[in-house]
Formats: sequence, C-alpha cells, structure tokens
Amino acid sequence: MWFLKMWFLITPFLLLSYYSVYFSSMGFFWGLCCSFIFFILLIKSSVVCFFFYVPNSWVLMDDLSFLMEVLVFLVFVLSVACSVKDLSFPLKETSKGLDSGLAFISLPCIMFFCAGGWMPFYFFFEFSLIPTLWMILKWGYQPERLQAGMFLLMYTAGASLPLLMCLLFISTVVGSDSFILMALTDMSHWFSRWLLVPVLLAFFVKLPIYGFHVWLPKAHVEAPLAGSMVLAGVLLKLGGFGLIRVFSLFKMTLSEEALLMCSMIIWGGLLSSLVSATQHDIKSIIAYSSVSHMSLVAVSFLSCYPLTKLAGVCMMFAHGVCSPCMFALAASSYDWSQSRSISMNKSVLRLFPWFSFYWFSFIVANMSCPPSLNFFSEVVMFSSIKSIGFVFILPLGLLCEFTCVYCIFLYGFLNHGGVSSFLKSYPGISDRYLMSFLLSFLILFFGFLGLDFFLV
Amino acid sequence: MKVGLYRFWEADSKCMKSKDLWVLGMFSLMFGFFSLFFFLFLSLSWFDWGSCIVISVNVSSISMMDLSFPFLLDWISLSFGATVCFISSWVIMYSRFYMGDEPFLLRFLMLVVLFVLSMNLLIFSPSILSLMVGWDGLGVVSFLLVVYYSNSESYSAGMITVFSNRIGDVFFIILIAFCCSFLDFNFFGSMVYAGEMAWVLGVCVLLGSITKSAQLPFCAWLPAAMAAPTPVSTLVHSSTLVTAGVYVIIRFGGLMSESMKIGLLLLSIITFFLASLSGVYEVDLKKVVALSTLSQVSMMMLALSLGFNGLAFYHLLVHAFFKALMFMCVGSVIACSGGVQDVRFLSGFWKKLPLSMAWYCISVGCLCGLPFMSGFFSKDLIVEKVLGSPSGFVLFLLCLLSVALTVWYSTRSLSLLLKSQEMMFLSVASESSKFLIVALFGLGLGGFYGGFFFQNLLMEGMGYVEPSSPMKVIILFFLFFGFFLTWNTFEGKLWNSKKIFLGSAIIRLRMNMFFLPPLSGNYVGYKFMLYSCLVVKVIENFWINKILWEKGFGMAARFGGSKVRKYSAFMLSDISFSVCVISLVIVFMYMMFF
Repeated sequence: MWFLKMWFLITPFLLLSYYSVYFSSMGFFWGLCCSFIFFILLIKSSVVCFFFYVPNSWVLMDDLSFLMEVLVFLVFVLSVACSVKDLSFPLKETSKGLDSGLAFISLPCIMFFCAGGWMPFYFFFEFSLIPTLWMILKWGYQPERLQAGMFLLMYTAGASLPLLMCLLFISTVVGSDSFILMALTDMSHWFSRWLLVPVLLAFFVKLPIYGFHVWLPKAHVEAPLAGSMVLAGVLLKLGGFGLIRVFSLFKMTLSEEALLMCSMIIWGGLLSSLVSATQHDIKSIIAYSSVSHMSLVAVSFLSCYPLTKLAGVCMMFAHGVCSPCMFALAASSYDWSQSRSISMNKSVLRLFPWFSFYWFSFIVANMSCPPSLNFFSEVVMFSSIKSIGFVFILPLGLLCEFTCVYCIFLYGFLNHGGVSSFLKSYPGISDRYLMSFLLSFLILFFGFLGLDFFLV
Repeated sequence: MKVGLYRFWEADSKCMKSKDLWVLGMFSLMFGFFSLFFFLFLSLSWFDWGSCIVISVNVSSISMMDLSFPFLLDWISLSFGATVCFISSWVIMYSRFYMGDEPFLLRFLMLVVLFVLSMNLLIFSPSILSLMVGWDGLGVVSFLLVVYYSNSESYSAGMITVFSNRIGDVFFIILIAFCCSFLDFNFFGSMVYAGEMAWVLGVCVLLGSITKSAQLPFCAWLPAAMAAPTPVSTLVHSSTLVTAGVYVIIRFGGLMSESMKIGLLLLSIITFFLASLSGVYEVDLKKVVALSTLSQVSMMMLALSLGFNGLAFYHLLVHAFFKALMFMCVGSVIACSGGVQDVRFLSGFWKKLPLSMAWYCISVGCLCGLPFMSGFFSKDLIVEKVLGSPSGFVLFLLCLLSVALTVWYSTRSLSLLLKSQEMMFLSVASESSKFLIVALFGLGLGGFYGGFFFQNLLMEGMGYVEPSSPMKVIILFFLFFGFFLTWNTFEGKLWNSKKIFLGSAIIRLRMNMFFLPPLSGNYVGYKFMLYSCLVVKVIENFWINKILWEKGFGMAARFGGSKVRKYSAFMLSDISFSVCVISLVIVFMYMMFF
C-alpha cells in the first residue's frame, strides 16, 4: 500500500519531468523541487519517531509541516509550469525574473512552515508579503494593480502588527520564543484572554474570513497567473497554519466567544458563496470560493476538536492543490479570448475537450465530490462542527448546496453554449497546462488511497 | 504519451469502423460484468441464501474511524448489479444506432460507462461513506449526460437535475457526519444502535433517498432530465438513477422509524397520482415514459414504506428491464421521426416501425400487468399485498385506482403512436440498423421473461408470497377499467390541442404536475439569484466595502495619518515621535493584558 501511495505521488512528477525539456528554466526548478519533495518524504518516513523533528532550535517539523512543505513545492512547480508562456524564449522584457520572483515567494513560505519559534515564524509570515506585492506590482496587467497591492499590504500588514506586539510581549514574559518550550509552559493563566484578539485577527485577515476578505479578490484579479496560483495555493494557508500553532500555544478550548466567532464566520462563508454566484470574472469567482472554503477551515479550527484539525489541514491541502489549477484554467481561457469574463468565454467543451475535462474535475473537487480529498475533509469537518451545536448543520448544509450552485454555474457558463467569436487559437498552450493538471488531478482524486498522509 | 493520447481521440471521430469496435468492446465489457455478477449470484445462492462476501479496503487508520471502502456481495447487490450491467450492455449497443452520427461517440460511451461504474459502486457498498462515492458520482455524471446536447433547454434541465441531486448529497453528508460519532459507516454496523440520535439518521436517509428517487417535493427534475439523449434516459432515468433512492432505503431503511415510514407512504402516494395524472395529459412522448417511471418508483416506495422490502426490490429489477425496453422503442420512434417527440405529430408507427412497435406493445403490456407478463408478477404482487394487509379503505381504493391509472397512461401513449390518421408525414429513418434489432431483442427477451425468471430466482430471498386471492379478480377488473378510461379519452378527444391548451384550470394543474416544475425550478432559481444580488449589493458592496472599510477604517487611517504627519512635521522629529508612540502602545498593552 505504501508503494502504491508513493507511486501515485511520483508518476505525475515523472511525466512532468519528461515535458520539462520543452520549458526553458523549467528543468532547474523541476529538479530542485522534486529532490526537495523526496527529501521531505524521506525525512517524514524515517526521522519522525516522536511526532516532531527538531534538528535545532530554529526548526520544528511535525506531520503538518511536512504536508505543507509538499504543498509549497507542488504549487511552485505548477505555477512555474503554467506560466511558461511568460518565461519562454525569447524573454519579453516585462516578464524577466518571474521565476525568481516565484522562488522568492516560495522560499519564505518553506521557512515559515518549518519555523521552530515565534520570531522566525513571524518574520517569514511577513516576509512572504514583500515578494507577493512585488509580483502583483511588476507583472500585473492593469493599472488597478497599484490599488490591489495597497489593499494587500494594508490589510495583512496592518492586521499583523498587533500580532508582532503580542508576540514580543509574550516572549518577553516567557523568556523564550520556542514553540516547544511554550507548549510545555501553561500560559493561559498568565495572560488576559483578550490577548487572543489581535493574534487571531492577523490570521483571520490572512485566511481570509468574510469581512476581512476585501483584499483577496482584488489581489487575485490583478495578480499575474503565477501570483494568484501561489496566493491561493500557499499564502492563504499561512493563516490556517498560524491558527493551529496559536491554538496549541494558548491551549484553546471552545469558549462562548469562539462560538460567536464560529457562527459569524460560517454565515460569512455562506454569504461569500452567494457573492461568488453573482460574479462575472472567473478569477473573482474562484477567489470568493476560496473565502468560503477558508471560513470552513477557520470554523473547524475554532471548534477545537482534535478531529477538526485533521480535517482542516486536509481541506487546506486539497484547496491548495485544487484552486491553483482552477486559476490556471481561467488563465488558459484568458489566453484564448483575452478576457476573463464568463460571458466572453464559451464552449470550451467544443474546442478544447481536455480542458473541459479538467475544468469539470477541479470544479467537482471544489464542490467536494467524492472521492476527492475535499470530500473527506468536508465530511470529517461536518462531523465535528455539528458537535459544537446542531444549529450549525443549517449553514453548513446550505454552504454545501450553494458551493455546488456556483461551481456548476461556472462550469456551465464556460463549457457550454455557442462558440464565442472572441476565442482564437493560441499555440503551445496545451502540454504544460495539461501535464500540471494531470499532476493535481491524480493527487486530488487518488490521494484518498493514502489518506493518512493528508489527515494529519 | 502525447501521440498515444491524441490518436486515441482522433481515431474515434474519423473512422466509422472504430466506432463499431468501441461499441462492441464496451458491450462485451458490460456483458462480461453481467455474467460475472450473475454467476457469483448463482453460486452464492446455491451455497446458502443468507451468505455474503465482504471485501474491505482500508484507506486510513489515523483517526479511530473505520475509513474503509467495503464491498458487500450478497444476493441483493449481485442481482441488482447483474441487472444494471445487463441493461447497460444493451444500451451501449443501442447507442450505436441512436448516436450513430455523433462525432464524439467514445466520449459519450465513456460517460455511460462511468455512470454504470458509479451505480455499481453504490450497489456494492454497504458503507455510507463508499456509497457516497457512487451516489455523488451518479449525480455528477448524470448532469454531464443531461447537458450532453449543450443547448439551453438541456442546460436548464441539467441545472435542475444536479441541484436537486445535490440536496440529497447534503443530507447524506449530514448522515455521514453523524455516523462519524459511531466510528463506523456500515448499515449493519454500530449505527443500528444509534439510540436517541436514530431519528436524525432516519430523516437523512428518507430525505436523501426521495431526492434521488424524485418523490414529491423534488419530482421536478425527472421529466426535465428527458433533455438527455435517449440511450441515457434508457439507462439513467429508468432503471438506475431513480432506483438508487429505493435501493438505499432497502439497505438503510432500518434507520427509519414508523412515523417516517408513514410520511414516506403519503409522499409516495401523492407522487404516484401526480405522475400518473400528468402522464395522462402529457404530449411529449419521452416525458410520458418518464412520468410512468416516476409513478412506478413511487409504487416501490409505497411497498417500502409498508415494509415489503423484498417485493419492492423484485419490482425494481423487473421494472428496470421493461422500462428500458420501452425507452428504447420510444427512442427509435424519435430517431425515425427526425427528433420530433410530440405525440400529436406522430402517427401510424405500426407500419413505419413494426419491430419497435411490437416490443413497445410488449413493454406496455408488462407495465400494465397483463396476465403472465412481467408486471403481472411484480406490480400486482405489491397491490395484492397491500390489499391483503390491514391498511384501511383509502389505501385499498388508491391502490386499485393506481392499477387503472397505470393502464390509462401507458395504453394512451401506445394508441397515440399507433393511430392511423396521418397528422404529418414524418419518417426520416427506418429500423434497419442491426444494432437496434439486436438491442431490442436482447433487452426485450429480458423484459419479457424477467418477471417470471426473477420470481423463480428470488423466491427464497423475498420470503413466502401468498398465492392469488379473490383480490386478483378485483385487480383485473380495475385493469379493464383502465382500458375503458383510454377508450373514453379517445372518444372525448382529450388529447387534441384544443382541449389541452384551453382546458380547465384543474386539467392544467394536473398536466403540469401541480405546477411543481416551474415552482421548484424557475421560481427558486429566480429567488436565489435575486437574493444573491441583494447580498452583493447590501452586504458586500455597501456594509463591508463602503461603510466598514472605506468610510470606517479608511477614514480613520487617513485622518490619523494626516494628524501624525502634521505633528511629526511641526513638533517632533521622526525618531523621537515613533519612540513616543511605541512606548505609549507598550504602556497601553501592559495595562490591557498584564
């Protein structure tokens, strides 16, 4: 069984490597990422005996970190492969350095997920913002990207400065910033419970939950393809990862405040799925669907059951694999019609059947159809969220239904109907997209064979 | 890799011979599965009737839950699986005739095979978790099949189908969520001992099943789904998808309490009359057959709600055969008339398509329950059982009326097709295709002998069935009453356009299924989009963006920023100012948190 699981993970990488000879600058990154992923899997299978891998005081890796590292590398490979149009020879002057920009986003994320103390944790949490901003400002298409970048910076940095204050304060009092030492000390009596507000706020804005989400659709719409792939795939997960670390720090239990937050967030998720059904920009639809999925993740972490942590992490991973591919599909539509409006892009099924197939697979995965990983995470999430109150079944069920509604709307609008006159053939688009989709398709739909790897 | 992948599809669209090859290959695949399941069934029932085989694939052990994919092979699943594979093999053969000019026949066949695969997953899994894979797969693939023609009508039909099915999925996800507390998902597992949570599980099973089986509040999608190609209707909307709900209740029905069964009884009776009465007035040929399917499915639900699980299962199997046959004949009529489905334009098919019409007569006879044809064994058995049980006068009368109604709508459609006066000469194809003939004979023999055959095979599993009683005569009387109703319809020319479009309000009400399809399709969809737009306008654009961020935090930030700039310019140097601010903040936080 172990061999089977590994095979499912490795085969798509091999396929991608076969194609990487066509892509300039792909080979180097491909080799790097592949060897890193194997390295991570090797460490995971051999070193982790007592749940943690702590080589030195800077690094702490548990199962969750391993999974997230794999996600970072995966999204990196996907985004490089999908934005080869910008990277292919001869390089346009405007797209120079896109690949290194991507690497500069991924690197702090990698460091973030294996940080061993609060200070490196915070440092890399903030540091990943700068190359993202750079990515949006330099490679975005419209002049509105200045506003989008401003929003991104103001919301996330503005919300995480109080976090810095709190972290400084805590580490002054405790005398160390190490996760493990802090986990061993019981600090819940030392601090006021209001200290949680600025700490949670930073991660809620990063996730984002509804109400603090204004920056996300703007950033997605203005960012280049690679930027929004990394943003949806990795950067949103920083918030969820931070929530897990904070909850283990504060020994969170389900309090009345948390219950209030849970209900606010879940109804917010419902609202964002309604909003998603009315958007006309493909990227914006996917961005709002990220908001609703991430609010599910936030609720599941807030409900503080051990099982929900597993489900939330699984959903973060599945969403991190699924939504970059949906962004890549949206970008392929953009390549054909020079527009991302759903009324301009029609009849993909008739012209590009393989793309239609992948549209359908990822949309179905996004609405958590079994046997995709999203399904298992959502079911386990349901089971524990309903345990904090049966009332939560109503918004959860509605969310499930409305997710299906906007997903099927999106699929139907794009893939059916008469052929749009805006579509034009664009050479050299298929292979790199299709191979990256195959990679994520296999992980999403056959990942359940190795569910232990994802439910951590 | 690339070359292989692309040639694979190109070969399909270019070469006719490869189409035959694909069809025959898929046919033999399905027929092979049929034989496999059938012989497993025979050997299992030879060994011991109650024996079963469970093969379980465990996928996760990290939580304490039994996250596994078990496959249960017992007489119920094996006989149903064999039936589904048998029908689908002939349907694949038939689709070579019906979809012969389709350039993407392989894609179509792949979807059909995917559908059969999900159905078999549903049939063979006793665990609600792995059943959900098949269940959701059915909904999703049937959406793809309904929107196959990709015009606006089929698109809206697909929307209704997938959203109604999704409601059922949501109930099943809730069911799984509750089963997570029992750490086990099998219908014979620990969820049987649910205790006080049992009613939630029962409600979820009930509501989930009636969405898939198109019972009362959710019955709009089944007639709408007739926008799919006819081979799909043959397989999907007659014998597999709609019966999935019945099958789930057969498996998981033990969770339902008595009061829920009474609710199911009411729903199924109302649905039966709804479907039959609108079937009497419907002019779209495919929709007539779809409505008859709906009424037969509610017949099964009625049997289930009264506790006759074996009889319901028996009727499910037999009905699958002759209903698929009926759809095939209807499909050949549609193909012959060049896509016209309106019975008012169709006539004289006894001469145009003698073979199809012969099989259509046989399937109608099976449906009506003419003596010694399939329906006589299965449907009348349910009616007899209800008549024999202490169920009250109303149910007694309704059951007998149901027999008459079934005869009424099925013979009406038959006589409309066979009527001799020529409305319009429509005949663009003949039934000379050997694929059609083979498929008709293959499935027709199954439909004709199915009732008798399964009665002998499943007798032991169903338990003892009482032999015929005086009730049989009453049933026969009502059967002839149905024939009288049809004759009366034609005497009164109820089927002509004037009567239908200028009819009374009651007729229109019955014709449109009590206005349920427009209510649950257009109205709900319209309201949904209206409220989403309202949400966007009021909450998203106004409260969140405008008030909270732009006017609230944005103004505060701008105001604060301008003040800070002013003071830092006039009063203090930058560094000393920031030192002051930071120390102020630290003092504030110290006071607040410590």
